[in-house]
Order: sequence, then C-alpha cells, then structure tokens
Amino acid sequence: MVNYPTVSLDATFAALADPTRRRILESLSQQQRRVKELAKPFAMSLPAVSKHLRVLEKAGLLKRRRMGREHHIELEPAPMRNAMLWIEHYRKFWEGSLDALADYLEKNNEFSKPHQTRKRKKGPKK
Amino acid sequence: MTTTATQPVSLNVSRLIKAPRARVFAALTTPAEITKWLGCGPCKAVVAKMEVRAGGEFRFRMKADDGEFDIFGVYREVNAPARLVFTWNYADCGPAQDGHETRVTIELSELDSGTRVEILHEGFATAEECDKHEHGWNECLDSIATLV
Repeated sequence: MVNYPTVSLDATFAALADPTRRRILESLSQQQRRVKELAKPFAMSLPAVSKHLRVLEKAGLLKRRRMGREHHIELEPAPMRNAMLWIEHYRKFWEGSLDALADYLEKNNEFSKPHQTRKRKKGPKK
Repeated sequence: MTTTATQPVSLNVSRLIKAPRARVFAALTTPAEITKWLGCGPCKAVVAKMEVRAGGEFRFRMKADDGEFDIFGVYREVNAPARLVFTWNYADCGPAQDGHETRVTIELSELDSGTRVEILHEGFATAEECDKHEHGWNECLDSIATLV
C-alpha cells in the first residue's frame, strides 16, 4: 500500500511533468485498465510503460490490483487533488495581484499619460 | 481533474488592464509600485531587494496578520515593456517548500483598450526534484491558504 501522507506534491508534479504519464492518467480517469490496455495507444514496449506506471505508483497516483496474472490499474485521485489545490493557490495569488494591479493603475488614470521608467523612490504612503 | 490530466503542470492567468504597456511594465518593475499590488488579501509585500536586470536578484518579504515568509528569485529576462521572466522561490515557508524553484513569465501586449497581461507560472516540479523533498508542501499551503 502507498502511504499517502509521505507522498510529496513534488513527486506528484514530477510524475505529471511527463506527457505519456499524463495520458495514462487521463485514460485511467475514465475507468480502470489492464497494463496491456494502457500500453496500447503508445508506441513503446510494455517494460517502458511499466516504468511510467512505477513512477505514477511511487507518487501515489495509482493503485495496482493483482487479479491472477493480470494487473489492474486504477487512478488514485487524492494526490492530484492536492496538486491542483496548490496550483489553485497560485492562481488566486496571481489573480488577486492582477486585480490589485488593475485597481492601482486604473484608479490613477494614467492611460493617456506617456510614461517613462523612473528611478525616483516614492514614500510608502499612497 | 480529468481536463487537467493532459495539461502540463503550469498555470496561466491573464488580465486586461486599462493602462499603457510602458506604464504596466513600470508597475511590475519599480520597487515603490510593486508593493501596491503584489500579494492578495491581507498579504502585503515589502521589497528587500529588487535588481531589475537579467541576472539581478529580488527578494520580497510577504507580511500577513499571522506570519511572514519571503519570495525571492533571479530575473532571467527583462525586456521592457514586453516581457519579464524570473525564478520564484520561498523562504521561511516550511522545510519542504523552501528550496523549491518555479518560474514566472509575464508578457505584456498592447491593445487599443489597454494592455493584456499574461502570467505563466511553470515548473512546479522536475523529475530531478522528485526525490529531494520527503514531505509535502502543506505547511506553506496552509499559511498561504490563510492569506488568499
């Protein structure tokens, strides 16, 4: 079993950094698959696909269930949710910043005023 | 989540600002002005260092009611008034978060109605970084969660 609390977001992001692995996850998001099924759309050997699966497994992004000789692979959504949550925080940070930037620049109404980059330092008060 | 699975791990945010491009670029690159807008909610930036040139460093102290942390990095490209690229790191934000570098590209395009600002934040992890951190980013995530 994968121990989720020890799986870092870095591992999740690193696992997601590869396009093949993202396509594997996409395929698993529809339903669980056998390894052979997962390998089919890719022009690569089974061992190469298995290597990608191991990276995803290590990052806690999938679960493997053995049924006889076959391995069934299933998506484990929790780490991805954490990763998306993290990105969502960055999104809020930037959206909040851009809103403030727009407020600041549009309030000062300098659209028609030509501007030159200044070195002059302003005081902290608005 | 399904729709993001095939996307690279990066983030795009864009905004139209009714101001000339040179004016927007100045607001991004002038210490006295960046403190007017960077951060959100109760989180305020204080500029400790800001050398706006390729290879120059910046460091912002982010202050909120319940804590402080640093954002710092190096300007990779400074192409006034169109493009700004810099690295993005945290300090005092938890052992896992500190030392993890990402990258921000800001592009400004001139429109009749103002300036389109596009922010790309990318490089949330590389394969090499995979084994570097044993813990999650939860501490920093928590502290940021209170800020946004």
